[in-house]
Amino acid sequence: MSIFKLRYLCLILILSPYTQAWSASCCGGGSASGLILPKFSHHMLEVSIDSEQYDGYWDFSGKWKPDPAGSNLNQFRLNLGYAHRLGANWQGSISIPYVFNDNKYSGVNAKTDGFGDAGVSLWYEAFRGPMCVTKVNKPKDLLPASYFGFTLTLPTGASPYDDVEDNFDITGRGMYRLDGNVSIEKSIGSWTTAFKYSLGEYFSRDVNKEYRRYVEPYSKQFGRRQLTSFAVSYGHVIPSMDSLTYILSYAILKEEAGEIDGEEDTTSEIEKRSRSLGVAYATLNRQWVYKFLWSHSLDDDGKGKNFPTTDIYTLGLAYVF
Amino acid sequence: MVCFISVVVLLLSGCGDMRDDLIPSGSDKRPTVYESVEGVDRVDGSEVGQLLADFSLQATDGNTYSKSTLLAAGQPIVLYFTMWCPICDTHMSHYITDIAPDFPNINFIIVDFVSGDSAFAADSQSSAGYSDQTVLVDDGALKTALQGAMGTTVVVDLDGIIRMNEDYKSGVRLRDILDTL
Repeated sequence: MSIFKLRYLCLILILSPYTQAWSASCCGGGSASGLILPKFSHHMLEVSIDSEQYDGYWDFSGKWKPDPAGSNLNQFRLNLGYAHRLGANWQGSISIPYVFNDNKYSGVNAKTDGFGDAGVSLWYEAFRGPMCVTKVNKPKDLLPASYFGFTLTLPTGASPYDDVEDNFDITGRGMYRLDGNVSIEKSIGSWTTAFKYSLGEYFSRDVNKEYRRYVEPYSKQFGRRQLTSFAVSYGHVIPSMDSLTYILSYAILKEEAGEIDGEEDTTSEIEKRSRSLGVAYATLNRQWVYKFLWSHSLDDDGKGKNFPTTDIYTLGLAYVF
Repeated sequence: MVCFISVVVLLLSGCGDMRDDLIPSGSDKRPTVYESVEGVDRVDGSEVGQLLADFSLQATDGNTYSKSTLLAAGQPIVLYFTMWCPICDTHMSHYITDIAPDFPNINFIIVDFVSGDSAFAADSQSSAGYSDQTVLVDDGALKTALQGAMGTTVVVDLDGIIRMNEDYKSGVRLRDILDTL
């Protein structure tokens, strides 16, 4: 495999669309997904559209239950992101979704829209050059590309504690959160494996209003959040010298019990397991990357807790310059 | 980069419906509610201390319930607004298993504000596993009267006075209020 092809596949690896969008319009969804700049690029703009269709939920015991009869619940997100190289091994990014809630019940039809929660990230790349190899000749060839970073989630969406009239208006969770992120990827030949882990802590906040109604003030903090994902991808260069990468991933999202006025709030625990299938297409000039991702919740008993089961279809376009 | 982020945040913070999240407040801004003193009667409303206006709603069991008939049974009532979502399910389950056993004299009523039809509401009630509960089918009137939303929990005492009207939360505050009835 030529060096050119090798670098090509590395680029695709970094842009692999296995990052997940997590939401729930009834629970304050619309968080921004991750954005990582290719190693030797300086800027990247990314636009993607998520179409999330709801299909039941897991209750607190993990039992799957259907949505209300006659309902059709959807959320659409237009995600805008920009990544910027800050140094040889440092990069930063910002992303923000614009959320469209479209919820139809047998007795209510609600369509609302607004900004979701924005994310600001800082990443350190713990490697100097391409870490993908055509084959393993020496132990050093097994070293992965490792990224370490932080993401600060800003409550730019509309939460129940904002000036919103109804739960159908919710586009965010209303809390600042700081995530520590680790992403480890290794590509050998056409195959790549990737592991990503995020550990997030919400900042406690005061609440004195719920759905425009002033209430007795209290403090609220969501529980510790963990997102773990594994991905396997296969990439190849097509005759036009453009390339295609196919991705399969599995993700587990967990959020522990939060606190209200210092007392544990067990009703806030959530869990979601999902698998994703995706494809990324990159042009010869390495500047344009198109991607499609389908994320499917495992709607079996015990595969989640206190969370909706959904299908998320993502169509994205990235411009690297 | 920093300038770009700062500009974006500043622009977003100018939007009225997200300012309360970006800069949360713990100030108590609840309106003052005047209780019945010296001939001034309580008024109907949605605030704690006000009277719950009477209502008449059909339930999934085929009966029609009003505030008067419910309170005439001699039990304070807890109204829980549901849209049959996971959080709603967790709250209802939490109340039934963790709180209700300690308060057998409280009548827990589920208010379905999304189905708008008894048949749909009954189907959702059955699917979610709450067939033993009383479910009122609200056409929006009660939700509007109480400024309700998903998870809104309203406690009404035997005098018809609203003692609590807020999100369910962990159940701790609800339990505290029920203890006073």
